[in-house]
Amino acid sequence: MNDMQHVGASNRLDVAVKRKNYKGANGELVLALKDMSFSLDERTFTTLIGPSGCGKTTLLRIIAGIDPIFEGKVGGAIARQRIGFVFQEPRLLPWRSIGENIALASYDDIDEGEIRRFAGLAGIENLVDRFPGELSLGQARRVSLARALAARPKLLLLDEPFVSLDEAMADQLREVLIDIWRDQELTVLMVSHDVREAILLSDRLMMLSAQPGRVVDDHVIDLPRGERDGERIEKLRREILGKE
Amino acid sequence: MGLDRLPVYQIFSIAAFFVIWAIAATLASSALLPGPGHVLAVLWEAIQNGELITHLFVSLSRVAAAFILAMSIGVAAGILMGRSDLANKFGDPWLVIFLNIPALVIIILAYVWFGLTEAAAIGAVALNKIPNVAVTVREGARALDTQLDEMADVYRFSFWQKLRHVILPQMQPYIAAAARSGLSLIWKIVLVVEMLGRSNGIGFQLHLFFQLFDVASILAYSFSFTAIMLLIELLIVQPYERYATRWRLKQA
Repeated sequence: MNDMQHVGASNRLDVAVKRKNYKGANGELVLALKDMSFSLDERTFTTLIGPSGCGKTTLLRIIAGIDPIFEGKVGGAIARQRIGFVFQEPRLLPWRSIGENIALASYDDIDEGEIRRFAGLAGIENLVDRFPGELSLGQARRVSLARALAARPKLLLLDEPFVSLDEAMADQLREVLIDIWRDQELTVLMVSHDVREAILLSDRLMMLSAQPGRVVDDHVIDLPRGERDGERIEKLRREILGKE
Repeated sequence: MGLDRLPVYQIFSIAAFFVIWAIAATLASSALLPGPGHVLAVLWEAIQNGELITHLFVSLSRVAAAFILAMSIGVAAGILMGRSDLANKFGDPWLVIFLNIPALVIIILAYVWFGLTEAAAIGAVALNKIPNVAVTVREGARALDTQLDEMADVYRFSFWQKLRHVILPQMQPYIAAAARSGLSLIWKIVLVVEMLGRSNGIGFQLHLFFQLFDVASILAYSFSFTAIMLLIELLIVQPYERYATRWRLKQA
């Protein structure tokens, strides 16, 4: 079943998942994704929106290469490069300091100054000597983001990075993310269930169907980021949801 | 432990044991049941002429060698079996067989097949312990956090990075438990191995005294060895176990 291939030379990410099954709790095969196919251009910010359980997380795992059992392929030059993954749970090593957690994700040797630089990008420079057990969820998410950056990725995958944070904290972190995306020349693929958030951050918004997930709607958001205020976002949101 | 927490009952219990022993020895007044005073005198004599220390050192070296051998092989096998379904299916019947072969049988066969050598002796002791270590460690390896595993895969941790930073920290409590129960089993089997096929060590001495019906020396030697093994458990193994699980306690 594993016929994941890397094809194509363009600086894109080409995702074509024909079928992805997983074994449910009762042992039956459940179809998680069906005919899911799209391409991402380099340095774009794309958000996937869909109901919970539609296979969004599964899709990110397939792209990251940690779930190799599916029918289809993930190709394009970006697919072969380094990947940063901000999981929904921070997934930090509790027995290692924040600095060590960040350093371990970098593929090459990394010095103290570099660790602090990546921590600084996520706004947690003062936490590098602490341990994950001492952090709040918001701080742990920032560490997870700093760790993803330390991998010096071309592609950054984000799985609901702002969920269960209070609004102020989520807004702060959204700003951090957009700055990082711009400065680090990243291609970002984020999963969310919040259309407003998606409009605020992304260049492109893809709506997924309920299980089995596939792309049912694809919007380009061409409103300049400086003009994305509450009113315009709300207007766009109505347009997008009205189309369905 | 403060003065207010002196183990009064335990001290009283031990004292009672010695009193009963002394009374029984006086009543029996036989060389086959020497009193505590006599045993102490024999112990002192054995320490002074250096014999006890020599044999004690030999036995402790065998305990250490068998312990290191059993732990390294057992931990490696346990991790492999906990992580790989194939390795587990293949290895499980072996574990069941070796867990159920009496220690004595393994020792006799080792001596018969490989001769009355040091390697056969230490190997036989280790072989008795490996399955226990593997079973405990396998449980730990099965309980490993798959989320951290995936994280390590995304960031392409090397084999050694994964072992050192992801797997071993999670396994530490299981390895410590295996080490503790391992030590107490190994030092008892070492005595049997020495009795059956070695010409030195505490076990060999016990065998010698048994043939002479020298009960005072038997007691003196076994008490000293037991005391040292208990000290090792109390002063090294248990403190290490607490140290290894320290971050878990802090998290709770």
